[in-house]
Amino acid sequence: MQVPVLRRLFHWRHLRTVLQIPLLVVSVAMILDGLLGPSLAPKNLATTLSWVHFRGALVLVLLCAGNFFCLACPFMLLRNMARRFFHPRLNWPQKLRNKWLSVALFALILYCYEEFSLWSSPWWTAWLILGYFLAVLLVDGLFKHASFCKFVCPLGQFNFVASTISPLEVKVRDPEVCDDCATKDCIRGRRAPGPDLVVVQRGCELALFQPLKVGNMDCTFCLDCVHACPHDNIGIMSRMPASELMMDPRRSGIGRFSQRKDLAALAIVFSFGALLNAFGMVSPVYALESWLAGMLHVNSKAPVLGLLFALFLVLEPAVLLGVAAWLTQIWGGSRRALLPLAVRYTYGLVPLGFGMWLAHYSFHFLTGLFTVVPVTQSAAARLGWTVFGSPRWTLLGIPTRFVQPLEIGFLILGLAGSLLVIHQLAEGDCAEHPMRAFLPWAAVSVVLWLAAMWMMFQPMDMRGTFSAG
Amino acid sequence: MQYCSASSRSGITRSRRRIPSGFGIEIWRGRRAGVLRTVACAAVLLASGCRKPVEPQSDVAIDYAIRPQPVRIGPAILNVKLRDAAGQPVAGARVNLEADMSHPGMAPLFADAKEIAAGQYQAALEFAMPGDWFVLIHVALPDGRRLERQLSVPGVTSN
Repeated sequence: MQVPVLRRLFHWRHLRTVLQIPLLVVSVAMILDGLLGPSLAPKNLATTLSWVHFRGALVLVLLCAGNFFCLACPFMLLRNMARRFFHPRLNWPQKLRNKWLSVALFALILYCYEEFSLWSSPWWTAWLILGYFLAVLLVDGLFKHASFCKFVCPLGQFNFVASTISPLEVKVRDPEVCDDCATKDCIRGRRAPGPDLVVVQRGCELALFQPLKVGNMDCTFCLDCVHACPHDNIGIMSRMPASELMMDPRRSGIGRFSQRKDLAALAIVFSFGALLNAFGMVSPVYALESWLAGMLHVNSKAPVLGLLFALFLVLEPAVLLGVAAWLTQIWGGSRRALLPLAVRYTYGLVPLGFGMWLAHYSFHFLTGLFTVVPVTQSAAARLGWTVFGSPRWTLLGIPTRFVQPLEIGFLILGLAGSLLVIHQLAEGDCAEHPMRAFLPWAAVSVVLWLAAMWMMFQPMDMRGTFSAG
Repeated sequence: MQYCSASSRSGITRSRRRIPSGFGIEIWRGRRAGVLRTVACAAVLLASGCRKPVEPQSDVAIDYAIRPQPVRIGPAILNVKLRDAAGQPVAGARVNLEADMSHPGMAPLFADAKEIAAGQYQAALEFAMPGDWFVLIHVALPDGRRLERQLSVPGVTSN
């Protein structure tokens, strides 16, 4: 950052803690209100803040700035406090050093959201937050470095993928300075002289070596590298959003995107999950669920939902991406095999997926923007604090008629981003016939975009109840 | 019209579990033991003790019915009957309704009920969106006492 005030702010060693403390306080308030407060979701801090405000603010900050929510993550504050007492001795298992576990957890959270109607249950929402705290303490209490962030945290994976679209990135200012650097503190950290070698400043816990780091994938914006660099050569820089998806260099701590099937799977769950998550909130999904339940002769929601997830997160991507890869191979003349081709172009769908998450979550955020006021007033009143006045339940947010054009704008922006990324990938892949490689993937993007637009105009229908056909 | 009874006479009581006195704590030692004990105690307390307080019993029964059935988006009528312990209608109460969707952040509905007969109150609601709704019935009794009941209106469908 060259902006003087911001530069000083981001170099301030306690910035992260100062951002984490309020979020930790809010998290504790959400847990307590979720467990002890009203059972109605619109009256409870846990559900209102989680499913209306947190998600919306998260995607908007990712769009406008970067992964600042990982920077302010309250789970890490608790972990750092716990690590004063517990010093992990184990390394994260070699076989789990990939994204498969977190992809599965990401899909599981999306499934649980529908299965248990998390948006309508303060109790389950509070336990989800509490479970997250316990999982962080368990994983990072046993395993060294930021194992939870890099290999487990489904929320972090969402942020990592979405932040590939962000306009800010933590990176080296002048690569030549790094060439002459002998200490590599940005990755190794700094230790106090003496026999104990106490760490006085951590290096990157996610194994991202700044001179070879490309883009935001796996970067939590923790700023450890910024503080560790003895040459003041690392900062938060602006860049073209999604530019890191258009190229395929070897990235520190990650490797090449095109060789990471687990990352491609994460991009698939991110992109197709965006549509599925929104589909779960419109009327036609209940007709489909009812029909499927009738076909399967089941009265329970779980198998029907499981089938829907298999259809939309596995079968649909496999068919669409498989056909597109096959067409790229035979029509575009790409020399890559089918699977590497599909992996390479899957990242092109990330902007579209992010557009859908943005449209969905910003809708709830903006239309329910002020609902946090009466919910907070009500929570304070239950504690006997009358200073905030009596709850004004009529406070709502921005009218739907103003928010809907914004949603459509986000979807158009997402489609434009996907087409741009795919075009750049096609040019690098098939220099002779880039359009032939571009068109199949552009068609997939347009199909998904049309599905997203169709969903936007469906009547919203939020049910936790399940009626079998 | 069939009424659903929501008398609070059938209050629910929940037992609170106790932590056994020698719950393996002896095996923990030193500073870590203190932290672990605190975390474990907090978890057990949260798991066992954090339940919503049970509403004090009331001698006024609140019966309600909503129509049309099934409830669809558009107008709906909610009838509320108040009866005292002797089964006599409670007249002169003030009854207000608040309808919320199960998802937070959505527009709530408000309505004041009119007393159409002794102890019988009626209000009109206009459900604007399909989905699961809850109606909160706020009752202010003539003697100043306040009661609240929650009515679940699941699966409001579009026309």
